[in-house]
Amino acid sequence: MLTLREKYYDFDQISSKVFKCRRDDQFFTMKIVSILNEENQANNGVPYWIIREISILKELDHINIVRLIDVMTDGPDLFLVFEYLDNEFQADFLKNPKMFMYPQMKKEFLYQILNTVAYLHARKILLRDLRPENILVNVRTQVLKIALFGAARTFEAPLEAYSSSVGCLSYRSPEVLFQFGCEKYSTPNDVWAVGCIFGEMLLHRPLFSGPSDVELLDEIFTLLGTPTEETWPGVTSICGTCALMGPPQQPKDLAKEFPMLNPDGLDLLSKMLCLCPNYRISAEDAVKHPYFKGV
Amino acid sequence: MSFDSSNHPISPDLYCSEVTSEVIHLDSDDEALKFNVLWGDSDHDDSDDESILLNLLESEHNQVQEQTKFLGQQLRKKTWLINAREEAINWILKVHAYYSFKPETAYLSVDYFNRFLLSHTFTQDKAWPLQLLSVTCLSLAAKMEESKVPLLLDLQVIESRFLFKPKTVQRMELLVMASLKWRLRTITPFDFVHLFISKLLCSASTWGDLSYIVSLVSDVIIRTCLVMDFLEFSPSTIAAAALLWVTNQCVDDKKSYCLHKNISIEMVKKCYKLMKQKLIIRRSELYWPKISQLLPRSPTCVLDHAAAMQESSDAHKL
Repeated sequence: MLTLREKYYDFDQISSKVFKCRRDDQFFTMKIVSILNEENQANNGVPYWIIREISILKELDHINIVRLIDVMTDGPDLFLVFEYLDNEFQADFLKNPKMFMYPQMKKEFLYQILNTVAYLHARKILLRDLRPENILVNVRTQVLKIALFGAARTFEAPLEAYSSSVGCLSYRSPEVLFQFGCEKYSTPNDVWAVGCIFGEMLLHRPLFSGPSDVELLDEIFTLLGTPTEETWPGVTSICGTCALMGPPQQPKDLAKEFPMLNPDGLDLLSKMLCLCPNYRISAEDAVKHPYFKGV
Repeated sequence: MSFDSSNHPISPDLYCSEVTSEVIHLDSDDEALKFNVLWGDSDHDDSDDESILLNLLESEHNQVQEQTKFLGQQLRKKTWLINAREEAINWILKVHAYYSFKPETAYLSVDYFNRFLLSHTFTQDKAWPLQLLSVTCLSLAAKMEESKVPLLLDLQVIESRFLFKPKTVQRMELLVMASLKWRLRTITPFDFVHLFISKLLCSASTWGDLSYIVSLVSDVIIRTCLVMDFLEFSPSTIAAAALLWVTNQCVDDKKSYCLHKNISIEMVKKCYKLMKQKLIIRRSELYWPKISQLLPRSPTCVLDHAAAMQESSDAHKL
């Protein structure tokens, strides 16, 4: 079996733990993960989260997901070898000015995101921390790539404390925000995040940007109305204390908030941003929505 | 034999004498009727379940199922390895029961173990490599599936002839994962059980306690891990056959719902037949071992054992 440096060469550092490298005439991106970086795990072998994430990535084969091609070990480190994305792929796709030149491109990219989410959910994989920073786009070829490492989780094996509140609050769903770090993610949360991204594409700014859970919930309810037992059965038992609800607010007219959007788009957006997770549209249904006719 | 149900889950005895005689003496007409339950025409329409099932079957097909079929052939050439493998799997199942792990954890442990055996040769003269492999596969499966993963040393408190240092197990973990190409998310029969149950019945009340059915099916599936001959069957086949096997004990009801057209009726029949042979013959071997065997050694004993093993495990470097 070839060692790391026998198999790959021409290392070029991109950031502290990320390298570009080569094998034959093909380039790859290599990411270093230390097995020993958590002290409490030092006596329990390879950390569970590394095992789970790598085994998830290894089974994924989708054009819109950055592909994990190889895993190498060298001492206390793992080297994850991903497909290389050239300069045409730019990270944080919503900051790409060309995104806003062609309205059809937004629809194309939204479709690719939802198609990817549906693919993952069919395999019982959650994204959990989907946000624009994790998404790269090539506007020439109109191909979008989602970088999953560090974010993907499976449905079925919850651990008490997955992680601290890593990641931006702006894309968290109300049912997650209500639980203050008691993180019980599920598929509707991913769909909510896509809805926020959809809104952000349209408005050129994050839909919700409050710095705390409470402020974020207030922004959400300002736009979508305060939930009631009628609009969200079971909400009073979830939110714990009525203080989180704030004073009752009526939903705004989405058509006035998003004047650039046609009726099909408004319908899809409202279904992705449905407050009740059980009523929220699934990714599988969303990709079949009339809004994507012709994509 | 008695168990303290407050401490350990009890595996119900599937074979009272009346039911056993019914099973043994089923005539061919009854057999045909039973299998029609699976492949009759169905108006049942649940598109979500249908697409989930289709995805599972596609994933199952893509995974290297053919390889574990070869393991059965390879094992038959080495009698000592058949016995050693069964002993190793028995150990895994005991630890699994002790910690009340999920059924999926047991199945995955054995799957990793089998897949590793395919690509590596073991010699008969040393017993510790298979024990290290057992500990490693159980650890990996627990890390994939369980909310609480015991420390590596704690996994080895049950009837272990060797005690491996965490560092040694970690090196073995990396070796096993590389050998399995880091593809540890294996499709198991448990992925299919609930989907098949929902197809097999119209309403839950017909079957009484659904969780009881699931636990019986899980028990049968875990038992198949011990029998080498089941290696030739796909997880979906094992799930279908196990469900038929279990429901035949409990309910004489022949609803005609179709599980899925992609599932081979011949393979399910063959698997079902093998279950009848193997599990009846082995009815005296209860899955749950005696309570006394589960008691961990005292901390002092463990530490002494660890100290003694430190030198020998150093000597057993991979």
